[in-house]
Amino acid sequence: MKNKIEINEQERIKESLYRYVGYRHCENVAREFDEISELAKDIEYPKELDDWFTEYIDNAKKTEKKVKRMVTAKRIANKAAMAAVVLGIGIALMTFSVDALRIRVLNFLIDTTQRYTNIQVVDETNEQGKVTITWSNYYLPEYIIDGYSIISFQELGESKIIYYRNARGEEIQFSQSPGDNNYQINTEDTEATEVKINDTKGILSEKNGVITLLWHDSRYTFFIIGKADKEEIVKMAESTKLIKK
Amino acid sequence: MAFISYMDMDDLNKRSKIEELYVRFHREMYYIAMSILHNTHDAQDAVQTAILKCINYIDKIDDFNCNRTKNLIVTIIKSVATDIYRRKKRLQHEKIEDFMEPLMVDDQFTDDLIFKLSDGEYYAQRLAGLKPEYAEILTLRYYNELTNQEIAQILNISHENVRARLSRAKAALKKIIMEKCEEWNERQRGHEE
Repeated sequence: MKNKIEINEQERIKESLYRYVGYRHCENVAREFDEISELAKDIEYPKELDDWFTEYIDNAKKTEKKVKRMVTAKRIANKAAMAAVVLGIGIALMTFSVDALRIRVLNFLIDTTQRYTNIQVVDETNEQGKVTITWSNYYLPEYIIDGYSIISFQELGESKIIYYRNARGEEIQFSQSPGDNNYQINTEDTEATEVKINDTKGILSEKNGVITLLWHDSRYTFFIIGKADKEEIVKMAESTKLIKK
Repeated sequence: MAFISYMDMDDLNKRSKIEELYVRFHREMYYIAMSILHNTHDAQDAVQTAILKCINYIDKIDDFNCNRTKNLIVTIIKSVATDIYRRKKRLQHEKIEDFMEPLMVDDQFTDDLIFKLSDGEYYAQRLAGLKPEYAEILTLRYYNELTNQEIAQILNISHENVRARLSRAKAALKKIIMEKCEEWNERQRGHEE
């Protein structure tokens, strides 16, 4: 009984034998082929076959070029996609900063609201039609822009907002919030300028005729927003005083 | 008209090799096709189909002047031309005998079998003379080192038929070697007497 190794060896020897016979067969074929080559020199070879092959190769070249173009286009598309992503991120970041003011203001309003769930809209109108603010401690601009008067005041948690309106229905908001909030001003398509409000730095910006002025002191952050002259808004801000009752 | 595909020629090196193959062998291929088909249009079809078939095996060709390459080209063009001939004559493509009990064929060698290298050419010629397909399939499998699947594609026969034909080719070779061995033994005995 032959063992497995012997069987494998015999298989290998047999394969070598087949290979050798194949090699010899190839020699015979090649000899015949060389004879055919001599005979084929005189054969009338159809031009259609040459034309077919030329066209075939041309088409193959075109396909190659097409594939290369597609690869290049894909590479460019990838780069463009990458650029678009970068641009998108840039725009998003810009939008973030552009919307920062609104977002931050909303944030502090919403945050304070969530923290204290304390929203008060007060309309304390006296007999002469004047609104009397009932808060105990708050800031109030002593200077009121000509034609405007307080129409209401609102408390959102720790934030307090006073609303002014003129006869044309144009409104100005004055907001005050405790804490040193690092606000950002929308500078997209706006003219943002730095202004001094009683020795503190403020940012004044204008967009579509709406003036936004943001400033803060050591304890509070303020902003005034409304359609009015810049100088008037600044004057209003500078006149802000703490009212204690 | 032959089926045209550019899908497999997406490589510059591959295309260059196919161009070289065409330049080197187109006349011989056409000559062989004509010798089988005796018809210009059919021979053109055969050459086109064979060229396209060669694309699948172009990676296996390193030297256009070696016998292995010549054998591959001859086998491909002969196979394609024979297929066209069979189709035209509406002949059965795969002979029934190729399917007949391949496992019954005894291709096992015994220990007392003597194989002389100097007789290699004789064996190859005898095998091809007995049945050209046997020498062809043995060469494709063991000298051209093609897989059964590749052989099936080149010869346009089923995978099972490749196995059956290979087995029969081996058995036929064994028979030829045994006959030669007997002849040699008798000669030896004659010398001893």
